[in-house]
Amino acid sequence: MGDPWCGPRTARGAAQHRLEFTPKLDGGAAARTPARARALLIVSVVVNLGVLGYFKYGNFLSANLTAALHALGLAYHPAHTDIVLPIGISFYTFHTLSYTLDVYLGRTRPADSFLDFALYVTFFPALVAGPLLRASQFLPQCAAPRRTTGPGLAWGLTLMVLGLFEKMGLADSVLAPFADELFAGSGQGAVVDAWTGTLAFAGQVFCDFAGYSSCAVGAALCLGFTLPNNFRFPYAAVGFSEFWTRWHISLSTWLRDYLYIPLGGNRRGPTRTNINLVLTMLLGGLWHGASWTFVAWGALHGGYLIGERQLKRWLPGGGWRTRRAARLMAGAATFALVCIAWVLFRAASLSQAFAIAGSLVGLGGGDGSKFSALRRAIVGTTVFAIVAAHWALRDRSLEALAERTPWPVRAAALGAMVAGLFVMQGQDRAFIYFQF
Amino acid sequence: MPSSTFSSEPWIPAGRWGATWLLALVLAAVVVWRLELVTRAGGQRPSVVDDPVLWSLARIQVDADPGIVAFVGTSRMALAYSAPEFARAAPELRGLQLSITDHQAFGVLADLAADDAFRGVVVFDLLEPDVIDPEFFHQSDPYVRRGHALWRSPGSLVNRYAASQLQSRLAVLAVGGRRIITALVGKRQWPAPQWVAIDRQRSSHADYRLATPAALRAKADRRLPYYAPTTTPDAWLGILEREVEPLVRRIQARGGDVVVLRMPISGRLAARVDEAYPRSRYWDVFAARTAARAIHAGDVPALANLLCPDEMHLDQRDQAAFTRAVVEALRARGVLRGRGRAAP
Repeated sequence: MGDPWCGPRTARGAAQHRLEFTPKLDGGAAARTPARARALLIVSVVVNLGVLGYFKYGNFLSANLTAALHALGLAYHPAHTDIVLPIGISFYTFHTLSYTLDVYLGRTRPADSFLDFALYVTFFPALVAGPLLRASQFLPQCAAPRRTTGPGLAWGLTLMVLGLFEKMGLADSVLAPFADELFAGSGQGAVVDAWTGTLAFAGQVFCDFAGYSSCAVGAALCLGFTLPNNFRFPYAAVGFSEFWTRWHISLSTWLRDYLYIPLGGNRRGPTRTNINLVLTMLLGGLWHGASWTFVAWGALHGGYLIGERQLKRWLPGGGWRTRRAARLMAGAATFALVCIAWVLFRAASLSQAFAIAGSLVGLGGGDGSKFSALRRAIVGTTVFAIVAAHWALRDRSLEALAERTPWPVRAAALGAMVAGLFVMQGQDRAFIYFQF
Repeated sequence: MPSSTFSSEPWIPAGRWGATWLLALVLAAVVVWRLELVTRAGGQRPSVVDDPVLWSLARIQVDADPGIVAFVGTSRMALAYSAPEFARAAPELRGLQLSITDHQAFGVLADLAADDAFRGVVVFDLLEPDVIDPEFFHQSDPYVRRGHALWRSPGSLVNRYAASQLQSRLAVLAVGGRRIITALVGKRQWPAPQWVAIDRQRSSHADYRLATPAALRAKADRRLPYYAPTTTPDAWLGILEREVEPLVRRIQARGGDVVVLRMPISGRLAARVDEAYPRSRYWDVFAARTAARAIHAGDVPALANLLCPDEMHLDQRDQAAFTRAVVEALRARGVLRGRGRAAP
């Protein structure tokens, strides 16, 4: 992967926070006055966001500033900088930010040991693609030496096999080629092709990211640590507010706790709530990458959340909302709209995203499908199986399922996945969230 | 508030986990073994997946030994060179397979030219249409870059080693789960064997007996349009003079040598290339001007007699004859004199 900045910057980030700020924020005599603590907090946040902004958004901001000045008739030619994006910077920056904020707000105790703090920031299973850790979740685990148990090791390895199977067996081998084919072109084409490629990406991005998260949780468990779950069968969500309690949970709760609620949440009236929702989702989109497609993806999800709130207000109440058919229809609509939003997430540019979105509703002008009926069936069956599994398990957990399953059946499923991993090897694709 | 559902004490599902894992591994082994038997019964051979890391492992074998003979080219050379035959024909020398399938090899030639240690011989595969697209000169760059950053990612070396061990032993891995699923679902039959297999030393072997004549013809048909004339002799020679000659001279200045080999091709492809690039106006002029040794397959009877079943590539049964013929041609032209372990 060749990222020379990754290690040194991460270590430097950890050292900087622990040694320069935290003692002063909590126990240092000089920081005991609220004004000084607040000033130090501001410095910490500015430094954290400044580093993230430089590495991740420097070129994006520079390019957009140049374009804006050109539009105003001003010739501005910034010096070109080859900024190498440190891997996982979005994740460990949020780790350090949440630590500083939580210590300042008294939600968590400062780490007693610099090594514990460094481990929290750089814990390798979660370093490059999450789940985003909170100090309050991780540091208490460092209080005593961690040891795994036989069942813990077995369950950890099982989660890793499950995650690898999702990644290699489903995301890379089955779904990614279809998504790649759609998003490699201009985006204009037949409706059926647009939906095939979009559904394939919806399945791919889930299996890729949830697969990584399972591996991370499993690897941590093998070492005796516990990480928070990042997914809870999100394609069975009924509505977007529920979707965000099931998808990338560690990010959505981070944004809720450190952005949405400090902005006022839903406590300042409907208009301010809507503004807060859009702002939170816009920044959530931008967190994923320095591109207008991610901003638009976040904005669209913000719009979805506002639309859902309005819909709930307009629609009559009553027991019909909890009926199975109504929930299934609402779930199907949620899934379809989430898929449409994925187009923005995956597209190389806004123009390509709009072209694919046009194709999804029949404006692509394509005649005839480039995907054969067999290939469409493979995507349809795979994505349907994923969504059906989410619905079957939506109110349960993987642990409960494993516990209730007879061990020979569990062994058969595990054996099939291990065999599948063997047979599916040969693909070479990085995890999608490594780029963030 | 932070997520209140998190508990640092994990929920480990109860159950007989030791028995679960033991049975799972046994079942997985049985499934893979069964798939392997079915795959081999269908005629599939094990094949290693070639990639920049595997190429890099061959590239790092280049050192200051003047007895190195590096075979550099595209799939034509990858499918023509036989490492065992080279060892028999020239035991005093070290043959290296540095060809890259689907990639023009100018970048590899440039890499060897830039390597101050290299003093060996490059046998460079060239077909006249190879030089017409400027992009061709950069196709192998990802491989070359990986070769220079090989130790940056030890994990990929471990992964490559393990993958090569498994891929060179299990034929089912050459087919892959996706092809198995597609063939079983779409055609209700096991996937047809692939006629090309790659070994751990990166030599490719094509067994065209596994291919139907219709499949070979269809492959040749798809290739033909790319070999239409698109340049003039002066422009063509100018590109070679500009892009290749400096590399040749640089290698020769260190005591190395470059042999540009016009590979044997057959059938309609040979006719198309001969028509589009008449030898008297292209190859012969190049051969007269270049500082490299230029060998046209048509001038070496043992090479001229070889037939390419798909018009472009040799069958594995001709790899030994090709390699012997190349070694003899190099000896006849004095390229190998003073090189290798037996050299004075």
